[in-house]
Amino acid sequence: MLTHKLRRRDFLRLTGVAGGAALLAACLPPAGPAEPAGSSAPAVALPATRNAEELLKAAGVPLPGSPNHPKGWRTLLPDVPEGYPLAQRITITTARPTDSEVVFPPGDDLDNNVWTRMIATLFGIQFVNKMTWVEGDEQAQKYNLAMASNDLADIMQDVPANIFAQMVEADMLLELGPIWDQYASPKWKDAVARGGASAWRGCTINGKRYAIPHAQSAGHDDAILWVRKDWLDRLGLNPPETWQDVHDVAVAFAQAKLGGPDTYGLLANKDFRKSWYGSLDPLWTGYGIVPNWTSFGWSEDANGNLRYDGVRPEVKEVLAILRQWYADGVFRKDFYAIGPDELTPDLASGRCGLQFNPVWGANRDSIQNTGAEWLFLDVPAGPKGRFKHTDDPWNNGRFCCPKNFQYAKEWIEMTNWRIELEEAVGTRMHGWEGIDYAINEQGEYEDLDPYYSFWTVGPIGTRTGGVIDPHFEAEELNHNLEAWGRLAPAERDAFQAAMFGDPVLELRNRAKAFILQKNSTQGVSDKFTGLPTPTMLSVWSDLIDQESEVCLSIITGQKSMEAFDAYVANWKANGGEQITAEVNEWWQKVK
Amino acid sequence: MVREKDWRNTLFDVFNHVFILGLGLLALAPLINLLAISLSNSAAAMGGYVTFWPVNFTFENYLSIVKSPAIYRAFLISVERTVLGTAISLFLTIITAYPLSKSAREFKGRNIFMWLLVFTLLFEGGLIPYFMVIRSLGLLNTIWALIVPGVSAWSVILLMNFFREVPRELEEAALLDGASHWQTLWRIYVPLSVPAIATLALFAAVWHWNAWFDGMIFMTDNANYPLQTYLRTVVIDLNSTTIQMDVTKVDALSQRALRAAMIFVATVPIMLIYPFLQRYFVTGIKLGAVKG
Amino acid sequence: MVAESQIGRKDGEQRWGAWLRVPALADPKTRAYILRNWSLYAMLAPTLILLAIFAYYPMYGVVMAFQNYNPGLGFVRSPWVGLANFERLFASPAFPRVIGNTLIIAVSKLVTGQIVAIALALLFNEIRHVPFKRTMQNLLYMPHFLSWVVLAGILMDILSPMGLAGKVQQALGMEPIIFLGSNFWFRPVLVVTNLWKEAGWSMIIYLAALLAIDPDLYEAAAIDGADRFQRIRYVAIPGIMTTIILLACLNLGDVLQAGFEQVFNLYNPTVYETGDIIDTYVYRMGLVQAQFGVAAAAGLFKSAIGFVLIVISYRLADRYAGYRIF
Repeated sequence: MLTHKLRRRDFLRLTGVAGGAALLAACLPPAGPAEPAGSSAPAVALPATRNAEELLKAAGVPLPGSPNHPKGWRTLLPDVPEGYPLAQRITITTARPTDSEVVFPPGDDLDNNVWTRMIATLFGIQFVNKMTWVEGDEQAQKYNLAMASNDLADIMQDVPANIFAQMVEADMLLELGPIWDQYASPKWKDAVARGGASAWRGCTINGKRYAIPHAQSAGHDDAILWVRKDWLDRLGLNPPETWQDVHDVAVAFAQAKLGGPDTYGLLANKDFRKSWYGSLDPLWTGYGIVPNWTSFGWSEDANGNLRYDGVRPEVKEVLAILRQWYADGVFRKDFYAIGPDELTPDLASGRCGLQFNPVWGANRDSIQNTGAEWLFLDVPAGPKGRFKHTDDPWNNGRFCCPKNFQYAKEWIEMTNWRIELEEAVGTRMHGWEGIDYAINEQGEYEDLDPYYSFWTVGPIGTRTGGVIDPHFEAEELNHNLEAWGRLAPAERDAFQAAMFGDPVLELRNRAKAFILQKNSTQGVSDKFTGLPTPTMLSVWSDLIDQESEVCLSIITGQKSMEAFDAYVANWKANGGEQITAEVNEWWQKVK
Repeated sequence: MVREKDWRNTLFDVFNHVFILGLGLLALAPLINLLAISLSNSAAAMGGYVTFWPVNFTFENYLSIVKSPAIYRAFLISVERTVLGTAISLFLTIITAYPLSKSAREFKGRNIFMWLLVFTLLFEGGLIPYFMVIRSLGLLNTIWALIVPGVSAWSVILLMNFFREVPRELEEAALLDGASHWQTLWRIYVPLSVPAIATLALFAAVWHWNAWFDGMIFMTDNANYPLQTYLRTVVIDLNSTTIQMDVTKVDALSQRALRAAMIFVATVPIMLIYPFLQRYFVTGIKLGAVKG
Repeated sequence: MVAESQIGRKDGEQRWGAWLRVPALADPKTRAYILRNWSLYAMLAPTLILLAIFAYYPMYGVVMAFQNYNPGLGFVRSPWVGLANFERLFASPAFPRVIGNTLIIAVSKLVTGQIVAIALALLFNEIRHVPFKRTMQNLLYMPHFLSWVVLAGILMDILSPMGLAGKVQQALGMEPIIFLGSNFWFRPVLVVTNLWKEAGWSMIIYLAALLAIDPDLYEAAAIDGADRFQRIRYVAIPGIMTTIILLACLNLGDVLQAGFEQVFNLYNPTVYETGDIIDTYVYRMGLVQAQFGVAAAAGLFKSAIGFVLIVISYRLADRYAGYRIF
């Protein structure tokens, strides 16, 4: 975890922009506006005390950006809103995800770092972290204990849906909706309004908004097909275009043992529906089934009702294909017991030649250590068309606050300001020199390990990368490609120049641009984004366990195809029909 | 002991020695495998080429650990809780076992106290109310949350039984000399019970070093995790199906050799204290091994 | 020393003087008793206070099993629901499964654990070469001291097809078995890994019992012409029979203890069918899914059955092995 580390921003912020130029040039709008001088700073003439740069300088707090370096740039800090910094400093506690590998400079921590010092200076708000977690079970367990003992943090990120519902039922949460309506900036409101009905779905209970949505960038985890070009060439094969091709190429790779005795064809793991590493989701969607991360999804039938895709007859068709593939040696023999996280060694050591993955399909270890050449391709089309799973960017989580929380206004106004800084094209917020990056003697940009965005308090940033506008990333990418692409190499500052160096990053950038371009036409999402229904709360996890078990057993040949019919009958009898009714009740309300 | 020399005996001896040697190696093999992986470079480890000898020998994994502030911090927390926890629990165990080792006639109410102690072995209130007690005492995120319960009923019973074997005459003589109970305990009982106390110290230290669940529950900020809890998030809990992944995490997952090094580091202190304490096992455990 | 403590006693009398004038304590015998033994009570006090706070006070939490616990209302004001949580628990299809798994896993571990420990002890007892014996003993004890987090980390690595087990199977020309993902193999893995960790350690008590056998008995048997195997059969085994019976009785109290730490660190959803035990179920219900009532009901159910089992096991241990815990 400590070496060859690539940061999220490798593709999110900076490099995501670079290589896509060629690909995107054709579909880009004409040149975007020149860098706006003061960003969207308020139009009123301001007293000197609201100038963020002056405030920071007066307090001796370092500024982001490197305005004094010949190859540096200036970060355009918007003026702070009226009334800030607060005369009396306030303290707000937080609950948020972290990562034990997030590295702080000596003496700094989650509560005290460049970002918190900037916010404390400009707003008079001190954040104190009360609760952190790394992974899913830990998160549920900690919120559970916090709820059970009625000891909540002021700003709670991503409270699991069932715990959120229970907190509301126990009357522990603040109704944030009206406060947000009053204080959120027009830009924030526009972004949420563009999200339509789905934006508030996970935050609303009985018509009241108890949370603020936590959006993520659209298309973040969409998969494309990656194939080892060098292996294709060695075997004289063409890049796969159809599902049959995928099978044939995979079998050819496995039989030729190009990556040693353990070589296999297509990356897959026990998350056989949708996975962040080695997904099979384009196959399901090609056959008209919506997969999701831990279960199948819900889709709309001809009558406008929702149905659970995991029990539709088409599932059997796909299972039959996967069963055949497994028998033919397409997958790793034990894929059904392997978690996605255990698969990276397979790519890194060059054991596997085909994968459905987002940008990290361009596996750096395999490229550097085994000479892999990865080619990315569009997903093959199934009988129902060319589709893939995508996450509804608004179905990502929620931020909520306990009933007695007094500073929701301040939190929202601070976020308004951050939107102007961090989600505005051309403000050049790339973090702090010496913390996030360095500019070396040759004037080259170098990434340093820490990244301030991981330490921030959402909805923007944090360890899970929140955004206000899910389409901002694409917007920024398009703008920077256009505006920075036009600059002669010598005119580029260190940050801009860095986007045109590393071939792995360039590959990832091209892939990112390709993925974003396909997102709107190919992505299908689970239609059910509401809170778990009452019957779901009691039986859903059991049903899903059974579903995984039966599907994986069929694929691996341990059970016959008929086992699926028995499972469907059992599903319907043991709560499935009831859940369908409940889900449709929800659907009639929101659609 | 009887010794005969016939071929059946010799055959049995040979077989028995070989068999037990095999078992001993079997007990050791996984650790050697782990050590070998941790001393191999990551490519060899990921490729699965390492068995009992490092491939492409390197210290890089251990160097990475030394440089990681997270592991270092977790290690220190574990050391702190182990030292403090062991000391406190030993002290409490000793002063609890002594009165309880008296008969009900000598020490009125002894049986009631004994039952109060034993009942906690049979019944508990559950994690949530316990969590709420720890929280309302302000112990969350402090080392005390991992130490406070302090005394284990099993250790008390073991030591109590041991104390009962101390010859009565010694105590009576001391009391006649005017020594108080406190003096008798520390001047007579404790020195005579060193093997038992050493064993209890080992149990307590090992327990504290190995505990992970309480860290996960009572440290709401994972910067305060002890080593085993931290290790669990790194080694076992990476099965993150739904969480949003990013390139950082994805690239970090392939570190089999590094994980092996972390696991090995977590076992080192056990290996270090083990030789010092193992000589007390048999004597110390006779009475307590039942529930050791 | 004598003088010193006499001074101490005098001081004590003065300090406790006020107390001693309470009429109930006026009796000289009581007074002498208290003077002599007040320190025994003082020694117990810290532990009793800790137990009161950390063990007895939290026991009020059992009310959750009979409530629809609402965290906003707390224990006092949450609505009472009678036995509804137990009804939901018993109606859940998962419940018979976790009970069955718990019993099967716990009993297999106890039975194999005891048999292997006895066999090991008998074999070790036949070894005369002391340094060899010591070394091997220490090797076999060691896994006992490793945590299940560490062991699970090691096992996951070893049992993966890229790990040691996979290599061995490959060398033998076998298809790799996915031990931790197979409902057929999961329980055997639990049993074997438990043996690997604990068998050496559990042998200690039998070794101690074997050491306690009078050497004259062996001599006598040898003189009577008993060969080595007969001496094991007729001297060693009967000599440790009481210990064997004792541990078998005590094990009865543990048949609901399938080993939370082991299972929790090794299992995954694919093996819930064969590996989910009461403790892991209670954990998931209570701490992940926030089904407080059902989790508390399951916990209480286990405690109650466990209590009965332990009482029975100690009765049996007392009757058949003359063992009393205190």
